Formats: sequence, structure tokens, C-alpha cells
Amino acid sequence: MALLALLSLGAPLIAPYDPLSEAGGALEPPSARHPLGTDWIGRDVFSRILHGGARTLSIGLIALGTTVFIGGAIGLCAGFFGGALDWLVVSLSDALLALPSLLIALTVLTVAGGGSAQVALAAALSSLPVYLRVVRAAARAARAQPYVEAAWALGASASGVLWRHILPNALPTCLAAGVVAVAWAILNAATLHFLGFGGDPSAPEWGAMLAEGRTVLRAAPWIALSAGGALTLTVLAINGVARRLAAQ
Amino acid sequence: MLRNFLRAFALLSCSSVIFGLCMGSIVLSNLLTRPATAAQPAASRIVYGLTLLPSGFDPHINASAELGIPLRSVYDTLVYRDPTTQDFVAGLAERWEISPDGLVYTFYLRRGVRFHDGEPFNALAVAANLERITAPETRSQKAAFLLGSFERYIVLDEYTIQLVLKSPFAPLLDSLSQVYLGIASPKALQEYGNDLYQLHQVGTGPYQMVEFIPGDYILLRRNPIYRWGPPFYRTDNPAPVEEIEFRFFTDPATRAPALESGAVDIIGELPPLDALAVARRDDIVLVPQPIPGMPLQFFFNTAKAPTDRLEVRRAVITATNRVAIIDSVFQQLSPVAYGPLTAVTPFYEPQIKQYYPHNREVARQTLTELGYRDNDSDGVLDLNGAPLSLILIVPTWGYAPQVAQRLQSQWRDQGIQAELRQVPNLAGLLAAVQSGDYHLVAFNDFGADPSLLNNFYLSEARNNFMRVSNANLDQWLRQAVQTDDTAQRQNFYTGIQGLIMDQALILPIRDYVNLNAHNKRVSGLAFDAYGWFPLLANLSFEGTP
Repeated sequence: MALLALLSLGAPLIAPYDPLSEAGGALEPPSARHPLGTDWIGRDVFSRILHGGARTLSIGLIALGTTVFIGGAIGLCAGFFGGALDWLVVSLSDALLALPSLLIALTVLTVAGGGSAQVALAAALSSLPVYLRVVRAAARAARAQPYVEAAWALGASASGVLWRHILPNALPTCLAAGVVAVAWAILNAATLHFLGFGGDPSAPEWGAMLAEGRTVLRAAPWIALSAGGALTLTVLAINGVARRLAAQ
Repeated sequence: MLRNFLRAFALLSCSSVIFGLCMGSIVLSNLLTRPATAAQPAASRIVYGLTLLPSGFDPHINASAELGIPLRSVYDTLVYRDPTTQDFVAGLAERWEISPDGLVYTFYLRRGVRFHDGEPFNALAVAANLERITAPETRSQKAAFLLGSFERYIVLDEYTIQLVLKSPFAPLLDSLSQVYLGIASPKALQEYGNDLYQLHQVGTGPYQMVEFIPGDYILLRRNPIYRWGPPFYRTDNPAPVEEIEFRFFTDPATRAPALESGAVDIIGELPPLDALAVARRDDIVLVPQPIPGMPLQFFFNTAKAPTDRLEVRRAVITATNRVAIIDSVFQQLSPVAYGPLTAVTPFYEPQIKQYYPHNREVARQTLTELGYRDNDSDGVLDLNGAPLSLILIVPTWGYAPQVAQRLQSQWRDQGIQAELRQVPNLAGLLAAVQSGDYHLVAFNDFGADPSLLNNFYLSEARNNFMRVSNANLDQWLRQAVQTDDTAQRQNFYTGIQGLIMDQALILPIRDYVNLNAHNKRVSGLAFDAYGWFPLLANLSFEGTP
């Protein structure tokens, strides 16, 4: 994961070519000059994959922000305080869980319009319902622990209990589930780019590269395979991080 | 003890005998009945690959060209367009007369024609179809518009019907020759209603619909009593195909492998590189089919700066190397487009090719004369501090994203910045156009009559993506559909094509060519005048059943 982050963030320095400019002939197979070949207008696929990684990571960060921080805060409060807020969160997430996450993302895009930022937001929001339920369940479980009852007995305030006792104990679950939500958001975002919601088709984005690569799959399989491979490795790496977090 | 044992033994024996008899009878009945009940494929059956999953398959209601691929042969139309001469020839109407004022069309219908359900074809059937198409509750997306200024019909006798127009509409015969105005059995229309009819379509054509499982397949079977086809339908076909199964291959990458593996016998819309690959094989025949209508083009928005300036539009076209785009994206399998009509469209004007040959220097000079300079040395020309940046609306279909990226790359070298905004579907494209925040938008349409230009270039046209309002253009477009004099129409359309390019309203890219291919199990693949629809009656089966 660290390697992926390093490669993606260092793309402007590492990438041998400009991801938007022609760097060679069209559909050149992988070679020393172009390790992952060129696409159909001669752009270097390796450079595009590296630059695409930065976009993918930014989608992951948006998903992390939206899901883990906003969803986490709402889920924790719902699980801890219960009552009307809990009922509202449970009902809303139940309703959203009845729909495929991609459909939720498409609905968000219909309202927000196409574009990379909108796709990232839509992908993040689509994984929110599952995350809300997981965090809420962790908060409810922590609330029933004897040390929480002891804190109440000692006269701790609600915010104090939430901050000092519920949050630290629910955190491992929140983080592990959050990282999985990020992986799902990245996959959903790639799907939305694949379907053409990403705005600029020339931007190096793995989902869009997959879609473009499939039209020349027989003549130049390296385009779709590179994008698909990068996506798979990233999701595997993120899942590895989630497993580590859960184990700790 | 012994009694209990004997009782158990007897019970077991009886059970075994009963079980054995049951199993035996099941096996026997299977053996006896299987040959009689199992569906036997017809002697000659082929698979035809469709490339799009339209929202509906009712030709009176839906507008997709894809539906016509199977349905062109399920229906006959009142008239046909000969694919070779482009002339109108007899269909279900043996002959027709047009009143001198162009307002009344009288059709004398063929006798002895029967629908696939056995119902007779007559003037009342035509009337029932017109009623259905024009009824508001049908919500026709194309057929009703094809009728133009149609006002009413008059049934003169069992085999004569008149169509009365509000104003002259020269493209009416062209409309009546399209599958969208195919004549369906009134009995089936009545029986199934607007929602279900598409699953049980009944026409008079050379093939009848046997089964339609939406999203899965459509099965057509040859109509053995068909004798009333147009002259270009083969009557001497020695081995017509008995059954044709249409299956969907919506992912472009799957089409060539499906053809090579034998999963499909005929398929269209091959990606250009795949078309070249299959053409190299001995067992596959490539059939590129030019499509009449509009080329793949970008409409300029003339209401938004800087493309509101004619000189900027001209410079942008001149800066574009269309030949390079054809070479890389379409592998030279499509001709370069030069005007608003493709070269195979009736009334196409070849002189249009003289407009705007690619010339980087001329383009740069034009922009320099307009005051564009790269003052901030960022590689993009600017005027009064505003960069020369163009917003392109790009749909996902028709290789528009690939073309747009090539444009972006070519223009970057000329100091013109292109911002590409991809839209995933037609609704997204129309919404983007509605907003007005664009300089160019890619779009095309198909048709064998140039009157389709009216849907785009008239001031009040619903698809006036250019936001153009030109009195001369409006007048010529209207007059061209009001006269049926061929020479006059040619004059009008020559003027219209010249005016559109003189005003640089579009950036034409390529004439549409559908890359079809078939294996050696069939021969005789040919298409009708509209280019999309195969003449299934002319297909011959060359394989072993």
C-alpha cells in the first residue's frame, strides 16, 4: 500500500512521459521504452497508470473523509444516544441498503452531474449505509460494557463518555470497516468512470482506461490489463490494511 | 420372529417392484416421447448478432435503428426504396398517385397479401396502423414524426386509401418506406395493446416473429407463403435461411471472438481493429456498409464566445487533421466527412470537399489576425486575457471519446485548449446542450432523405445544437421538403450544404460505415437503402444443417 501511494504521489517525478501527450506510435506493445506499451493515440500507458493512481488515491481519501469521518460520527452518535436519531439512521440506512450501491451512486450523479469530483463523492456516499450500520453496532456494543456504566456512575458527562470510552473502543472496528468502504468506493468509482460518468475521457483514470482498452482488447491487451491489474492490486492492498487493522 | 421377517421381506419386495415399475415407466416414457417433443432446430438456422439493447422493439413506438435489423423483414411497407437506385418501388402499395398540390397521396394496395396470423391485408389495416401511430397514447418516438404534416386518411375502398396532408411534405414516401411505418396486423395490435405488442409482432414480411425473450433473443422463421416482396428481394434464392436467431453482443470486444468461434454467423459494428483482423481470415467475409444521413460531426455553439465568431470556427476546422483521425481511430475504414451529409446520402454535393482543407499555418494566421497571442507563454492562445479554450460535449458512443481526444491533442499543438466533458447517455447530452455551456457537441443521425437536416438546422428545430438562426437556411430547408421535383431539391440541398459549411456550423469528422462481417455458413448479405437493415430474404444458407 505504501509502495502504491509512493508511486502514485510521485507520478509527476517518476512517470517517464506526460500522460496526456503522444509519446510514441499508436498501440506499441510493452518495450524498454514503454514498459506497459502505448495506447491507441500513442500515450505511454505506464505514465497514465501512475498518474491514474493519484486520482484513485484521491478518490480513496474523499471516500475516507466522507465515510469514516461523517458516517463514523453519525453512526457513533446514533449507537450511543439511541432514540429518534438512532431510529432515523437505522431506517435511512435500511432503505439505502435495499438498493445496489451502484444505483445509489448513479442517483447521486444524476443530481450532482458528471465529473471526477462528483464521481468520487457518489462512490463514497454509496458505501455509507453499510458503514453507518457497522459503526452504530460497535457503539451500541461498547455502550453496554461495565466500564461505561462505571463512568456514568462516577458522574461523567455524555460527551465525556462518548469521547473517552465509546470512541476508543469502537475505533478498531470503525477503521477496519472504513478501509473496506474505501476499497468499495474505489471500485465503484472505477465502474462509474468505465460507464462514462467521469467527465474528461482523456484524463488518466483506471476505470476509463479499462473502458477504452476493451475496444482494442485483441490488438492491444496491455491497456485494459494494466488498468485492471492496477485496480486489483490497489483493492488487495487496501483489504490487507483492513485485515491488519482488524487483527490489531 | 419369522413372521415379522417374512412380512418385512414381502414389504421390501413389493416396494422394490413398485419402484422398479415406476422407474421403468419413466425411462420408457422418456424414450418414447423425447424424439416427438424435443424442439428440433430448423434445417438452416443462423445466429445474427445485435449490438445494442434498445429500450423497446416496437417500430411504431421506439426509435432505435437496432430494432429494424430483425423487424425490417417482419414487416412490409407501403413503398420501398431500392437500395441500388434509391428510387421508390412498389411494396404493399402496387402504385400511388400524388395530387398536383402535393397534399393528397392515393395508394392502390396489393391484393392477396396475408399477415402472419392469417388476417387479410387491406386499406382498413393501413388505417388501423395510422390510427395507432398518431394516437397520443402510443407516444411514438419516431414513426409519428416521420409522417410529417399528415392530417387524416380516407379509405376509398377495400384496396385504396388516401393520405391527406396539411402542407406538402416531399419526404413522405421516404418515411413510408421505413420500418417504423411497417404495417402490422390490426388483430394483433388490438389483442396485445401497446405494452405487449412488441413481444408478439405480426407483419406481412418474409420472416415472422416466433419468439422474443427481451434481453435474450429474438427468433424469426421464414414465411413460406411470402410472394409480394419488392423487386430487390430475391425470388430465386436456392437456399433461404429457415430460422434466424438474433442475440445481443453489446460489448464491442466480444463481437469478433463470437464470430471467429462460430457463436454468431453475422454481426455488425465491429471495432475497426477487429474488423481488419477478421478480414484477414479465409473463413470470414467483411462487409463494410456506408450509412446515409449525417456524418459523425461536432456542432459549433454559435451563441457562446469564442465560437460565436465565424473566423474562429473556420480556424478550428482548418486546424483539424481529419485524415489523421480516420487513420488512427477508424483504421481508414471510414471516409473523411466534409459536410452535413454523408457521401451516400441522396442530394449529397461532392463540391463540399473543397471546404477547409487541413492547414496549420492558415489556422494559426487566422487566429493571429483575430488578435489571439500566447501572452502568458502557457502554450494556449489568449485574447484580452481570456484563453482560447473550447468545451466539447462528448457522448460515449460512435468513437466520439477517441475522436475528441485526438482533437484535443491536435489543437493543443495549435494553442487551442480543449476541455472534454463526457456524457454517458442521450439524456445527459441533451441536458448538457440545454445548459448552453459548451462550444462543440458531437452528434449524428441517420436517414436516406436529407430532410433530416430540418431537425437540426431550422431555427426552431428541437435539435438546433448550434443555436443558429439563418433566414436563408430556414427558407431553403422548408422549400426543399415542399417540392417533389428532384432537380429543385438538388438545388436546394446543394445550397444548404454550401451555406452550412460556409458558415462553419459543424466540424464534420467521418462518414459512418457499419463494419459487418459474416462467416461462410451464409452468403448474400446485403442491406437496404438505409444501410442498417439487412435484406434477410436474400441471405443464402451455405452450411451443413
